[in-house]
Amino acid sequence: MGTDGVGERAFRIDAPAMVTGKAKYGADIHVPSMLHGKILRSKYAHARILRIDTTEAVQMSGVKAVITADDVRGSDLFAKDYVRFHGQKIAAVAADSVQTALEAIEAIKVEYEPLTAVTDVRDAIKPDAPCAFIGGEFEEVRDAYGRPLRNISRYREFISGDVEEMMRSSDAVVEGEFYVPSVHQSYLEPHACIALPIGGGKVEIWTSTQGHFQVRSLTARLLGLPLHHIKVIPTFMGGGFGGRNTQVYTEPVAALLALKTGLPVQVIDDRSEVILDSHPAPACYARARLGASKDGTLMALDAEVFWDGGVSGYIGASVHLRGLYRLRSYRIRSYGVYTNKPAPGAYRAPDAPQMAFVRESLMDMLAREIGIDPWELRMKNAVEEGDTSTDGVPLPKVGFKETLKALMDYSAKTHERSKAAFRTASPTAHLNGSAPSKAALEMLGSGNWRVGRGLACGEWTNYSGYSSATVMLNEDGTFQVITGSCDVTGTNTLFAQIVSEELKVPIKKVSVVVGDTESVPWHHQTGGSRVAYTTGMAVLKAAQQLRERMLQIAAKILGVDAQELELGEECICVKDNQSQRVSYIELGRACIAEYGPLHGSHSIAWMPTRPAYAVALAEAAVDLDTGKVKVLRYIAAQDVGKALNPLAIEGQIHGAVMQGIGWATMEGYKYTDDGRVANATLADYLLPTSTDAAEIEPVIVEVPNPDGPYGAKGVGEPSIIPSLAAIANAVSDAIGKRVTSLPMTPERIVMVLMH
Amino acid sequence: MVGTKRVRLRVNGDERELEVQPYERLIDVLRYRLGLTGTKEGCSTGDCGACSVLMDGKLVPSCLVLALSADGRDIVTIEGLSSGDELHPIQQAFIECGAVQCGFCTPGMILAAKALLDENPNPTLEEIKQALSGNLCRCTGYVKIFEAVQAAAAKLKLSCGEL
Repeated sequence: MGTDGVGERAFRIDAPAMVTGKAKYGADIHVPSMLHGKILRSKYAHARILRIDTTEAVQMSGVKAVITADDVRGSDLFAKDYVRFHGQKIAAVAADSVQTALEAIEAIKVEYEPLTAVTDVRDAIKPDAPCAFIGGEFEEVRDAYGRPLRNISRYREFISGDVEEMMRSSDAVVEGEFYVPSVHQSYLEPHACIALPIGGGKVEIWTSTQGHFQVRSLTARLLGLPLHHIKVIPTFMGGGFGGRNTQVYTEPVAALLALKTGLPVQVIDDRSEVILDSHPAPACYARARLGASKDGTLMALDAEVFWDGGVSGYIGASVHLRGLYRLRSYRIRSYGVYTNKPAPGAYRAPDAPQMAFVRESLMDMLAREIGIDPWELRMKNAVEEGDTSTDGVPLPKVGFKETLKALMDYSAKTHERSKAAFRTASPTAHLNGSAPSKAALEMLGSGNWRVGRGLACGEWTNYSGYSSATVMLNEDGTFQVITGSCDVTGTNTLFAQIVSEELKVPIKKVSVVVGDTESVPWHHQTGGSRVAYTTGMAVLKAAQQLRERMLQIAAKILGVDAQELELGEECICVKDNQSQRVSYIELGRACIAEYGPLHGSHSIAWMPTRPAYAVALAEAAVDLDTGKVKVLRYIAAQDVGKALNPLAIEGQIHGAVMQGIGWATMEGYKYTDDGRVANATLADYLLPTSTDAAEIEPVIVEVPNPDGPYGAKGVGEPSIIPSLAAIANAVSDAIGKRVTSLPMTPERIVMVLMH
Repeated sequence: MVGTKRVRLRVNGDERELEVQPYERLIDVLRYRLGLTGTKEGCSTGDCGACSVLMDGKLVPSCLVLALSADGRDIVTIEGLSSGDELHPIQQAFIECGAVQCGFCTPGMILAAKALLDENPNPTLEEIKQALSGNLCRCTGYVKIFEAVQAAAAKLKLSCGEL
């Protein structure tokens, strides 16, 4: 007890550095003779580049280098013939001050021939839409109604059973058109790095990233360098949420400028650059219908999903529509669509929140249509062992029904906390736009408020990927953990907890470091809720190996059999004779002197994974006069397998839910008619503040996963998945009309109420 | 062209005198001239609060303050809050309540909490929410930050009582 082992609410071991300002992030590494790099970006969303003239910039005093596509032939680091989205990189400058660098990029002259841009996926697929990617490869396909589609980059379909027949035999069919906007991950730290030339054509990059090995390979590819010419050292990271996952931003630019000038170059994107030139979550447009028999048995799901794929024509994982409920039949048509926007990227459970919004809205509509409690409908159809997974394979033992039950139990038990009018048949039943409770009114203030309740579910199977770990005994009896997994969520703390658990030492005797690309074996990036899972398992195995080696050496020193020994807080001793012992300090010193440095190491290429479930119940109030939406209360039940650190898990759930509240009610890119981003500052791009915070109540469910460390499952992502749908279902319940487009801004709600 | 000007600042208790450009911002002086990189830049437009510092005891976004206008002022940054390894009760509360995740908003958030508690040692939850509304946090959903400010308020009250 008190050792902060596994299952304890251990404090973050790196928090003291963060609360004192000592933690170094991407922009915090400053060195003598450092130059400042700035990037010239396209002011058009779509244009032909006729001419780039850098003459004036090159001649400016203080300017040390100017680079364009001509400096990186065959690479798409800079735009060459076309710019295909607002903010795309065209050139960059290194100068002796930020001010000079800014003046120099202003002095670069670019001649454009503007082209028509398309930034809304709903427009891009129309027969008369402009081409979003001149020279691109397109799929010639038609939609469900036989209409030809434009700008389609990829098409996939997933079919099981006879959907038409099953729809015909359904007693109730609900349908809708849904739209989810593109949102930015909005990590608070802008992209920033410093690149230092270290001789022999090599460069060292300090950067804030979710994956330094991925920064190395992407930078190498863009600049045509061999991997061993690039060393990447990860700094502290000011949030990522997927946005810094297998992506580079400033790194290749800084590296090239550093190699050109022979001097260290710092490149920092400002917030507008972050919003313009990064990899946000894709917008998604879907048309879908769901049929069921009158007892609530799901018969058929039929959906067409159009992913706003930007310049990469990204196609999202529409399979997230299936996998939670037993479906007699389904037909999912999925399209990737080119638009004049940057390539979408990962954002916390990529694609799943959009698909959950579609699926769970339909489930809510169906519950109303056939007059069944929304929770009952889910419970009736929820998958369990042996049913088909999202990936189309039979499920092992999962915890969906347990998570549904846990939410119901918690909601029933805490009924009196409901801010809504809560005298309903069940704690998950619709409220049908009743008046808020007195307590809620006190909080909401004046207004024509109505309250509603919304239930929604989500499923996420964490990624595994490659990880390794080394655990060493130091000569003073302390321990060192080394991995290559950048810490976003407190995983370094968890590794210390695992060592504490396995070796019975206090957490304060364990330090954890993330090695750079030249110090540790290759790792997958931090993402997909995989680090606690896979790297955690590597740490666990490495710690166990170290324990065995420690016991063997202690046995030699003490002249006993290793079986007779046990580990204590300070020493290893003979079980039946505690005075016969060797302390960790003695052991550490003996190893350095006689036996060689003592460590345990373990590598993992892949671990089996299984789905985790998140079930959410949102209570929201809507002012019918102004359209304002306020989330009053949010219960988030999530199956974590085993709660390795409940304090950290609560934090993950709180954060995921708040991001969901933002996406559901205020966030989203806006565009001008000519395709430029209209809200590229934080004054215009709204994010939830402390005054938008809801009462978020995590309910941690533990259905063990036999393959995970101590039974754990991936934790960071699941709770964002049901959030859009849960809030939209609550709002729809409050206003008596279905909201199918996000975000639910006051303007949109008023529009829905008027029509 | 307007030339440089000499300014005197008191930063975390130390007198500092330096030549600044008219366009230089307080955040640039802190981060690049004085090496105080605990002050973070998140948006450069005063909308995120990551660069918050205390100027004569008031919370200001240092990205919107010109270095020239900080002449003669008393500045406290996150580096000035703890003495040695001894953390300020607000810093300690942030750690213990799990109010720190990525840590990028943390320096500004802690200074916002300090500005609040200096003025109002007994804030209600609503007052805490208002006081922190200029400081964005993307990781925590704010829940544990509120708890940390409440815990810090209780701890500060206790230590006042003991004195």
